[in-house]
Amino acid sequence: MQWKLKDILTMTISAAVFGVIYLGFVYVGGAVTAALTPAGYGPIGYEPFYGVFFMAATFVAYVIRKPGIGIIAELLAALIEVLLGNYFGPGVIINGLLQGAACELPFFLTHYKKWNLGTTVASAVCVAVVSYVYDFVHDSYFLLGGKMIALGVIIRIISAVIFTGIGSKLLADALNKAGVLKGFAISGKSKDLYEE
Amino acid sequence: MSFCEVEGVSFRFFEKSERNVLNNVNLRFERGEVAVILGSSGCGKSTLAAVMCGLYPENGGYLEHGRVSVDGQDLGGMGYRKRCRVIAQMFQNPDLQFCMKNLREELYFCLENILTPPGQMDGRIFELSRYYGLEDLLDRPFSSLSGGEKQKAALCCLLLLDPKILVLDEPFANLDDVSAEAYLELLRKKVRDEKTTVIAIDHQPGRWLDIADRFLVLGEGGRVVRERIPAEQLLNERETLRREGISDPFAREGEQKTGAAGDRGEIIRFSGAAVFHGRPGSRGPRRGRGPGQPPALLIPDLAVGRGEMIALLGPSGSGKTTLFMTLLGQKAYTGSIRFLGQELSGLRGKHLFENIGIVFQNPGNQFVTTSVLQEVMTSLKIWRRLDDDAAEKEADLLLEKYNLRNFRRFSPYMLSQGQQRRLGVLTMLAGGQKILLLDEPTYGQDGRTTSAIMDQMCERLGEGVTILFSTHDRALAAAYADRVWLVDGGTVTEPDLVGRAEKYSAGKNGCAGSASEGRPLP
Amino acid sequence: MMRKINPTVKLLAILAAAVITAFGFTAKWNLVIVLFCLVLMLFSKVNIRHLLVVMIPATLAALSLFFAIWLNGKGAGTGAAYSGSGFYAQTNNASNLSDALGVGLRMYAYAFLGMLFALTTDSSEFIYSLMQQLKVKPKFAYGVLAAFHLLPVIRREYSQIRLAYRVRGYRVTPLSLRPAFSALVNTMHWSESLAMAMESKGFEEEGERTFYLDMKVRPMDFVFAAALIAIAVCGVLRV
Repeated sequence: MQWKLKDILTMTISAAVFGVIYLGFVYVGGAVTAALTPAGYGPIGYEPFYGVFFMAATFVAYVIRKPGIGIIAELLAALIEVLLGNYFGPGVIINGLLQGAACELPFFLTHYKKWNLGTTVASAVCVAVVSYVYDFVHDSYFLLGGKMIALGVIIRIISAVIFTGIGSKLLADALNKAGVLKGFAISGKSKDLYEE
Repeated sequence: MSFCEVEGVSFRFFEKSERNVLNNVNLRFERGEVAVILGSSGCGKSTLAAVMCGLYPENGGYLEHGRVSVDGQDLGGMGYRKRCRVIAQMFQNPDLQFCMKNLREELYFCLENILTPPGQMDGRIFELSRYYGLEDLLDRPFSSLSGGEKQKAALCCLLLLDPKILVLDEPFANLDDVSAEAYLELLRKKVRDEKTTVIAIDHQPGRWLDIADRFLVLGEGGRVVRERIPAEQLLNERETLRREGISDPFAREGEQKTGAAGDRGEIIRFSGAAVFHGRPGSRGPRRGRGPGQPPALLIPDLAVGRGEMIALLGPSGSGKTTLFMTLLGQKAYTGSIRFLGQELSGLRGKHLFENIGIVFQNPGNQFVTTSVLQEVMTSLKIWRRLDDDAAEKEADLLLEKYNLRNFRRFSPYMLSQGQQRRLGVLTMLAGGQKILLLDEPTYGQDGRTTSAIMDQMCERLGEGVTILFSTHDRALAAAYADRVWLVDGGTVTEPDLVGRAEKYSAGKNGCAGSASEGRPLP
Repeated sequence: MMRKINPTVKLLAILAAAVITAFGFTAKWNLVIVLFCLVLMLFSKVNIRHLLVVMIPATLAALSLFFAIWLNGKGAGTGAAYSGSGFYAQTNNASNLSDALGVGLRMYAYAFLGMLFALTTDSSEFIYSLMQQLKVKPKFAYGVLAAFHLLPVIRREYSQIRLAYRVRGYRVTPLSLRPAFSALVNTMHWSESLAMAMESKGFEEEGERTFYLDMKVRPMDFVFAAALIAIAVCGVLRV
């Protein structure tokens, strides 16, 4: 599959833009975490916002629609994260690979032919589950009580469905309607609006 | 055979579209000439540049037929590496030209692209920077450069690649006079010493007068209206320029318009205001422990009258945007700023924005829906609490008035830049706001849209709206504004314009007259 | 001194250390990793303020995990507690406390490992190294770098977009996703413009290019990698 420079820049700049958007959620998530920490439920604090964190990959996959997009988009995003530096550590690269593969799985299984709410939501759920598995090992979430694990997984999946599955699809559809996605697979054979 | 030939180029963005952006364009350029292509926004001149440089259809669009050749060499299918030695382009937006962190690294990037051996790179860059006097530009991060410096840096990259033809797309779009002169200086040197061919694209011939060998005028679809106007003949072609919507470079003196001065009371008064970086409430400068950070902008004692139009002039980065941000309640300040009789710092959110609106340089930043109609309806629903039906009716009336009715189902992003700005103004005023801030309202606009935008502003003045706009264009400020404020060196002043009264006493009141004029539909 | 380590080797070593550390969490060895990184950073003259800024959210994350495992962990309230790493899980009455401490401190170990890379690596050298050592295609490498350098513009434009939405009468909170729409419109425009600007300068997606910097792998790089990985292995083996 041929990747054009424009495709690649769309992936990396989208990742950067979603990163900047996510910052606002980080502050709120941090505040929630801080409030829950003394009671021992801190790890739940960020869960409602994970969906925003996942948005970039599903968004560009839905726009560009080429095999490999999920993994490459997440991997490139991870490289930007590593350069920027944050407290997640270098594990973001592994996490990116796993999340990218998860994001792409539903599209792969449907032979990159089905691009609808069903596949984007499935993609979101896969990412949420896989990312939790990653936290299970990387941050030893298995030591949290069963109750907190169940709660965490459920909240994360709901958040992913809302933001990643539905949100990024709505955003991409709106952009397509606004006519700014010309040249990408999502815009299909749409015509110049002047001819309506 | 000419040095560079564009033969029968037909191009459109969608293969199935029936309208060609470029329709059978034929052009010739000679070696060593400086040719300036003039044309109104949307005539396809930028697209033509991108096609000549091979960037379209590579990055989108569909080339129906046509070829471009330089020195007998067909450019079709030539890779970028080879092509950039033949023809290379510089773009309008200074923020989107670089992938590295500073000019030195960007120059390495260019040299690597053309397979320069690493050992020769530093030498080449040293020569270039000494020749053009760039030493102080090389190692500063791009994020710290002004728009003018970035454009200069972008030109340097092309000078280093040394193509046979330089294509420049509106390089002065956002430059103040000083930066533009510095830029032209580099270009003059290159043209004089190395006989490089320059093809520039602009809708303002003004700055090119003393360097251009000839001007070309393109019309709709890239149709060649005039193929050869020598610079000294341009004066005789003013009618052609006007017809094609290009600003008249000779209109600077003697044709000024002015709006009706507003003596209907004060709407804003600054008294010894010192504006600081940082938002209101954050690390308040009031606490005054030691000297602290210096103020970003001083506004000693100035007032804005109701219904006035004030132009803010000053070099880029001098604080015009800071002044706007202050009025939008985004900056901490000391001293006093009375806004409609109340202290500005006491006004918050909706109460402030009920009264004041802004149209940013990139109006796209403020559209919230996917259709023109929806945009206006949204404003009406939010500010005037109309229901769907009433909002749609009202929106249609307003769109009619702003000449946008035909585009009601269009996406705002499909509109031309000029139309986008008009829509931006409409959405900002639909709620009955009384003060409008315009950040470079004529940035990247051709003569026709510039006067359309400014005439529309004048109509708003007639409705009692107060307008402050920033601009680099002195002539524009003189032509339309009631007063000019100078923003420079961290201070806002109102220069005493001697002889102003006589100048305007001729009674040419462009604003008052234009309200009733019918303008052609876009 | 860390600035001279080959960026690819540095990244792979740090990544390996983080992965190994993920399978063990003794407080003692996590502290050793933190100190090891800190000393290297001090010798490399990094901007300590930048490090401290990142440590604020890291501390929050560490504390939240610490309290969660200590108070509500797997063994809490049941008498029998698990202790030890995932590999060496065993029933032990000792405590959730030592697990909690180990896992909490490991957040710092991750953070320091990440910052050791970010604060001592030049973005361009990293890209050169990716292309030379890992044979990453230039289009991907420069795609990452271009977006990285565009961040100041993205931040500026995004805050302007948020302001524009407020002026239009929308309530904009840190949780508003609406402005994302306009930000993404810009993204599409930026990616096309940047791609054309790079190509106009002769950048080709495929094909060779020369490199101003020749990124070499030196013996010193392996010394660093070996030392760091050794520490991580000691941690997981609970030496």
